[in-house]
Formats: sequence, C-alpha cells, structure tokens
Amino acid sequence: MPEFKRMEWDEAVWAALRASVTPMPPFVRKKALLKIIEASELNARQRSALRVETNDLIKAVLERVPQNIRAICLESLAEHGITE
Amino acid sequence: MEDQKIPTPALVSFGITRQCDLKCKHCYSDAGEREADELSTEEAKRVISDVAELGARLIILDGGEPTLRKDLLELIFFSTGKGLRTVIGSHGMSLTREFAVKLKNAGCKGVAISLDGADAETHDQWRGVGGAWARTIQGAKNCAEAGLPFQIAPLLHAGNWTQLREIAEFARDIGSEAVELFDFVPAGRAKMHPDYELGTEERKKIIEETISLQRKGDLTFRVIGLPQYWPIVERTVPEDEILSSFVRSCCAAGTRYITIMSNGDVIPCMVLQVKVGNVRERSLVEIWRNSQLLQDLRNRDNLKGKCGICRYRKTCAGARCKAYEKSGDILAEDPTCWFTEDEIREEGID
Repeated sequence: MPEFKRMEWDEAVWAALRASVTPMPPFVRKKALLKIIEASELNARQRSALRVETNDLIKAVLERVPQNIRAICLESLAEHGITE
Repeated sequence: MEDQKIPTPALVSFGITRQCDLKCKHCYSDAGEREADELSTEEAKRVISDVAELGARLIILDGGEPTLRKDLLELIFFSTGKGLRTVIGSHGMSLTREFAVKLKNAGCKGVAISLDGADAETHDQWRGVGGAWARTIQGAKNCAEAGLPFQIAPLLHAGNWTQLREIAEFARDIGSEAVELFDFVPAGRAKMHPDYELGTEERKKIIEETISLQRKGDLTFRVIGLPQYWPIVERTVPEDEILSSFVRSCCAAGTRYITIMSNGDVIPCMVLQVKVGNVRERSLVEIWRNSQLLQDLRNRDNLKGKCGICRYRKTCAGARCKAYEKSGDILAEDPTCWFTEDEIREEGID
C-alpha cells in the first residue's frame, strides 16, 4: 500500500503512520490508509509543500478518521513521536 | 504520580465466569467450578459500561466458558448497545447452529474458538476431555452455517507446535477468518506443566512458519505472547506486504489491553496475573486511570535489562508476563528473548 503515496513523506511520519495502522485488521486498514494518505497529501499541497510532514498527517487523522477510533490512532502516532 | 497521558484500551477481556467443562492443562483462569462470588448480571453490566466509557472498541467475553453463563446473551445485547464490538472466547462445544444464530442476533460479532490440535488425540489430551475436538469442530462449522464469523485460537506448546501449518490449513478449510496463535506461558494452571514451554529454536520456527503462512495471504494471523514476531516481520517482509496483510501485536498488557476476572479482580493481562484492583472496590475506569502499576507498564522507558535498551521496545516491549513469572518484576527483560545486544542496539535481527 505504499503505492497509495503520490508525494514524498517524511520518513519518521510515514513510519509512525505504518505503526499506527498495522494493528488494524487488514480489510479495515486498506480503506483507512487510503483516506489518511490522500488527506495528508492534500494538506501538504494546500500549504504548497513537496513533502508530507507531521502536521499534515495529524490534521488528516483529526478530519478523516472516524471519531470512534481517532483517539487510539492519535495515541499510537504519539507513541512514535508524532504529536499535535 | 508521574504525569502521563492515559491511553485508550483497544481490547478488554472480561472473564464472565470461571465455570468450565474442560480440564485444560494450561488454563490461565484455573477454571472449573462456578465461583460463589462471581459478578452478578448488574455488576457485569456496570463493568461493560465502564469499558465503553474508557473508549474501548472491542470487548471479548470469555472465562472459563462464557456459554455456560445463563445471562450471556443479555450481556452481549447490553454490550452491543453500549457501542462495543462484542465477541466471545469459547471452546466451541456448546455452539449449536441455533445458539450461534442467537449469539449473532444478540449482537455478537464473532467467536474465538480454542483449538489446540489438528487431530482429536492432540486436542483432547491437552483439553482433558475425550470427544472435545469433534464437538469443537462441529461448533465452528455451526458458526459458519449461522453466518457468525469465527477464528481459531490455538495455544502452541511443546506437544503441538509442529502442527501449526496443519491447524492453520484446517482452520481455513472450515471457514475461519483468522488464526490467533498463543505462546504457552507458565502462568495459572500452566505453571504445573513447565515442560510444555517452548524453547528458542521452536519459537523461531513458529515465527518463520507464521510469516510464510501469512505471505500466502488466505488467512490473517495474530501472534500473542510472542512479541518478537513483529520485529522479525519488520526486518524480513517487504513494506507493501506488511501493510496489506500483516497484523502487528506487541505486549499490550495494561497499555492497550486489560482483563477483568469473574470475581471482579482486574489484572493487566490474562497471563500477567498481578492484581491491580477489584471492580467491587473501585470502578474499572478509576483502576485504568490511576493504577501505578499500569502506569509503570505504559512507559516503555521503564523497561529493564535488554528490553530497556532495545530498539524495538515500543513495538515489542517483550512479554511482560514471562518477565514477571521468571523474576517477579513486571519491568524486567523478557527472559525468553533471543535477540543479542548487538542486534537490538543497531544491526537488526537478520
């Protein structure tokens, strides 16, 4: 699923995203990952950046991940050094 | 008390009864007769409400054997109404087609069925009751017919680990969605059978075999009690395959996971049997938020020995249960970990 990426990602940000989605069942994960990647890259483009950074991902999770799993997702990112 | 963010549990295991009609050698609940001080229906509902309040997504009602508890359907219905994805952990022997339909109608989203052998002899010898294997298999098939998803959950020990591939293939053939592998831990009744604990070479082969089976892609595997699985996956499997099919698990005791026993005792994990409270004395919410022991577990920088310096301590953390059973210290290094200091510091584990 790295093929979903259209832009360059900060290595640590991508690693944290990967760590936060891999506990999900694969059939849920694919959809979640696609949404988050698309939204993160859109956020990066909106600030005219060439690379996806921490805030692009955090904003995507806050806006695109369903509320019932958002907290776990954010906490998992925080465990890997990605915080608001 | 250290200022620490309170995590949200991803999974809560609620052993609603200790009653069971099997005599499994390893039983971590030391199940058998129903306890006199088992939580009542109303007390159990209060626990479930607390689980929902904590923000957990998934609750597993197990035991003992949960189908022996008369209010099981009522508890499932209540739990589902609280927004919890509710599943049960069962030996499968009581799962007639009719009962599987009732479970599904009550809101049950799936059943984890314990199956410890690819043949009746291996399973029945371990589970202590003749004919158990056949009834368990029938229960799984009944679930499939009723449209109730199930997964097979084998406990791997010295007497059955070589059957891993056969068990997995059998699970797939009868319609299992996943296989959840448990590494034998000498806790609970299993302490009486330490000779069944696996050795390093056997654990390495199990991980290798599981990765090979997962790469075939027709079943989802989860590995419990053997957190070294994930670092090895990360080192040996291409990223696209990890993201498309592999499921990460680490020791989540007290961090993303907690267990409530049938008498209300709360422990970090079924196999990390250190009491952190009782729901009759303090609510589960209060225990989860304020237990010092749980807070200690959550900060991976507290880990000692090899685990404390390991590059994988956040994605593995070592099996806290094995550390505790060996040393009495929940933060000690995992005594069964075979990674060398050089491997965990820099070079990886190839």
